[in-house]
Amino acid sequence: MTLLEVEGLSVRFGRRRRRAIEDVSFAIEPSQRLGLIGESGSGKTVTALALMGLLPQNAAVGGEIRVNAVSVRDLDEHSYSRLRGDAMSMVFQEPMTALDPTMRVGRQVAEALLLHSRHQAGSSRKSVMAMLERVGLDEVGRIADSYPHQLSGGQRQRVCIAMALINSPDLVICDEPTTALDVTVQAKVLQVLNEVLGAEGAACLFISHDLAVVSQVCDQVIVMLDGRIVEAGTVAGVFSHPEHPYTKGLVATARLDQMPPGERLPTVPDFYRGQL
Amino acid sequence: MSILRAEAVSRCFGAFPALRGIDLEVGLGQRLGIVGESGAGKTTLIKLLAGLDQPDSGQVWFDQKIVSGRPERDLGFLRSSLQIVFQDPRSSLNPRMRVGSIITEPLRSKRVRRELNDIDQRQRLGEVLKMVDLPADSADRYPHEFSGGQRQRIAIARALAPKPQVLIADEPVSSLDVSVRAQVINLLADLVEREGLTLLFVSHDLMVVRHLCDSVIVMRAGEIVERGQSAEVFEHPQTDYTKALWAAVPRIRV
Amino acid sequence: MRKAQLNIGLVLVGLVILAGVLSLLWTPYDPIRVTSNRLLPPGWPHLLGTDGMGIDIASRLLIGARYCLIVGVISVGVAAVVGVPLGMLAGMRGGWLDELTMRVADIVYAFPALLLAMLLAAAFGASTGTAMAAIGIATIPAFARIARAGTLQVVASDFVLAAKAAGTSRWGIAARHVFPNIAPLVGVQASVGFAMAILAEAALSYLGLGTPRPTPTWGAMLRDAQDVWYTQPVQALWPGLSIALAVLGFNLLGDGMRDVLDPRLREVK
Repeated sequence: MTLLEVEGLSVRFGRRRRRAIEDVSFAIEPSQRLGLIGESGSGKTVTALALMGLLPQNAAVGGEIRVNAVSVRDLDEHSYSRLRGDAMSMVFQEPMTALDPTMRVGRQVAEALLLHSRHQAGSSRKSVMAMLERVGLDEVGRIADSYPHQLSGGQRQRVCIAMALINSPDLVICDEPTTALDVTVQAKVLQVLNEVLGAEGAACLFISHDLAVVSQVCDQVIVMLDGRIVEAGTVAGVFSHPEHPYTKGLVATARLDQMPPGERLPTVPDFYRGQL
Repeated sequence: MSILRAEAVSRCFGAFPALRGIDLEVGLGQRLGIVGESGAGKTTLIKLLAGLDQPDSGQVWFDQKIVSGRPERDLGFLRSSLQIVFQDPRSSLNPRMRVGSIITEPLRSKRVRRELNDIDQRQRLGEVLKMVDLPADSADRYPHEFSGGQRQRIAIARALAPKPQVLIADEPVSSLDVSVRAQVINLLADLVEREGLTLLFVSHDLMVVRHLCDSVIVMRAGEIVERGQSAEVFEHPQTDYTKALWAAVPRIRV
Repeated sequence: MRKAQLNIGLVLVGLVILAGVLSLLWTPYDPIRVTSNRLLPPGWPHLLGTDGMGIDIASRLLIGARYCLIVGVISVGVAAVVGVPLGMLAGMRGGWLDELTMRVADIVYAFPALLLAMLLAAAFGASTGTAMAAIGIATIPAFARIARAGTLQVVASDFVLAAKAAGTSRWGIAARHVFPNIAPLVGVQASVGFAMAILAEAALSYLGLGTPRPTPTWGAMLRDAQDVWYTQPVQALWPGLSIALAVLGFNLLGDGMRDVLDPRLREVK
C-alpha cells in the first residue's frame, strides 16, 4: 500500500490568493526516500507544512493528501494532531528554534514519546536514552539533562532527529535539516539520519536546495520551481540526465567538484531564463 | 611584499581562548582561504585583521602600519583600504536604509573621505552598482525588496565603494542557495581579478575555497594546523583534520 | 484584530485632540465663570449639566482635554528627550557607564512619582509645570531602559559591524543605524507613557498637586465631583469617563503601533 499520496495539491495565501504551490502530485512508498529540491521561495516548505497540516489559518488548501489510503484533508484538528509525531513527524532547519529553550532536552524527547504511547513516565527514560544513543550522541545522560543552549548545533539536530523518530513514524519530513550546520557536522548528521531511517524502515521526504546532500540520502527526487513540480525521477536519472532546463542548471551549479579551479562556474541562468 | 601581517596574535573571550598565537602574512594580490569548523577562530581572526577587535597579545599590521592597539580615529587608512562582506546579507544590511545610502555609507565617513580625496558619491554608487550587476534604480529601494543573492551583491557593492585593496569575505555564500552560490562566486572572482584585490575568503566549504583561492590556512581550536597552496593542501592534506574536512564536503553521489 | 485595536485607539486619541483644539477656539460657556445654575442635570442648554459652581461641564471637559494633551506631550517629551539618548549611550558604550546609568535609573524608578510631585510642589508651588516635571522625570527610566534594550540588540547586528568596518563614527552609527531601528520601540513607549501621564496628572490634580484652580483639569473635576458624590454621582462620571477613554485610546494606539511597526511582520508580505 502506498504510504503517502499527494494529488493536485495547491495552496494559496491571504485575501489576494497569492499562489504558493499549484498542482503538486507525488507519492511515497513505505521506506522510500524522496528528495524535494528547489530554491528559497519555490514552495518546498509550504508543501511540507501542508502535509503536516501546519499551515497558517489564511492558507487555502486544495487537492488531496492520503496517508495509508486515508484522506487527511477531512481530519479534524484533534485526529490530525494524533497523526503528527506518530505516523509522520518532522525535522526542522533550525534546531535551536525547534527546541523549547526552557526545557531539558531529555524531557522534550520523553514528551514526544508520552504524547503518543502508553509508556509510563518511569519507563520512558530508558527509551529516551536508547534513542539518544542511536542518533550517535555520547554521554546521553549528560545530554538528556542539558538545556538546548548548552548543546552544539549538531547535537541539537540529533536531538531533533531522536524526537522525530522515537515513535517509529512511517514518514519523516526533513526540511533542510543540515543547512544551518558546518560541513563536517552535516556529514555526521546525514550519516546518522541514514542509519536510523534504515533501521526503522521509515520513509522520508527530504527537502533541500543542495543536490549533493539529497543524493546522499534519497533514491527518488522531485524538482520544484515556482510552486510547481518540473521534474521527477530517480536520483541517478535526474542528476545524470536532467531534462528540464532549470534542472540542468541546478545540476551544473552543484558540480563544483568537477570544475577546474579558477574557471567561471556555470549558473542557473545559463540554462534557464524563466522567472528566478 | 606583505599587505597584512599578524604576529603571535591571541584573543580570549572570558576563559575561552579563541585564538592562540596566530602568525600570518598575506601578500598583495594573494587570494587566501581560511577554513575550519565553527568555533575554530576564523571570524575572530578576521575581526582582528580588520581592526574591529583588539588582540590580547600580539600585533596586527596593515601595509607597514600597525593596526592593533590604535584608537578608531587613527584607523581611517584601514577603513578605506580594507572592507568586509559578511555572511548573512539579511542581517548585514540595515533594513531601514535605502540601498543607495547603504552602499555609499563607507564614503560618508570623515576619516575615510580624508583618505580618498573626496570621491563623488553619486558617481561611485553608479559604478559599483554596475560592477555587481544590479540595476541603477536599485538605489532607491529597501533591502527586503531583494532576494538573498541580490542582497549579497548589495553588500559586495558597499565593500567595493571606497576602492579597497583588501576584501575580506566571511562565509559570503553559506547562507545562499547552492544555485545562487555560483553567481556570487563568479562575481567575486571577476571583481578580484579586475580590481586587483587581495582576497581573504572565510568558509567551511572547502570546495568553494579550492575554486577561488590560491592559498589556504586550516584553523582548528584557535590555531593554524595547516597552510600552503590550495592545490597542494587539498590534494595532499597533511593533517587528519584537513582530511576530515575535505571528506565531509558533500558531493553528488549517483 | 490588530488593525481594529489601532483604529479604535486612533479614533479615541483623535477625539481628545479634537476636543483640545476646539477648546482653544470655542467652548459652549465660559469654563471658569461661576453662575447660580448649580448642579443642573444633563439636558438643554447645558448638555452634560453644570457643576457645584454652576459652570458648564461640557466646557470644562473640553478645556481639560487641552491640559491633558499639554501635560502628556511635555512630560513624555521630557522623558524621551532625556531617556532615549541616555539609554542609547549606555547600550553603545557599555561598561561602567552602562552600569551607572542603569543603577541611577533603578533609583529614580523606585522613587515614587507622587513624592517627587509633592517635593516639587512644596519647593515651587503646585502648578501644571511641577506636575509635568514630576511625571517627566519619573518616566525617564522607562525610556532609558527600552532604548538601551533596543540599542543592545541593534549593536549586536552585522550591519553595525559593517558600518564600523566602513569607518562610520559612533555618532553616525547612533544616528543612522541605532536610532531608526529603535524608533518604533520608543514610539510605542511614548504612546503608553502618554496614557500613564494622563492618569498621573489626573491623580495629581485630584490631590491638588497639579494645575491649580480655577483651571478645569479632569482630575480637578473629579475632586469637585467628590463633594456631591452622594447626591449627584453623575458629576463624577464625565471626567472619569474622559480619563478612562483617553488612557484606553493611547494604550490601544501603542499596542497597535507595536504590531504595525514590527519589521518582522512587515517583511513577510
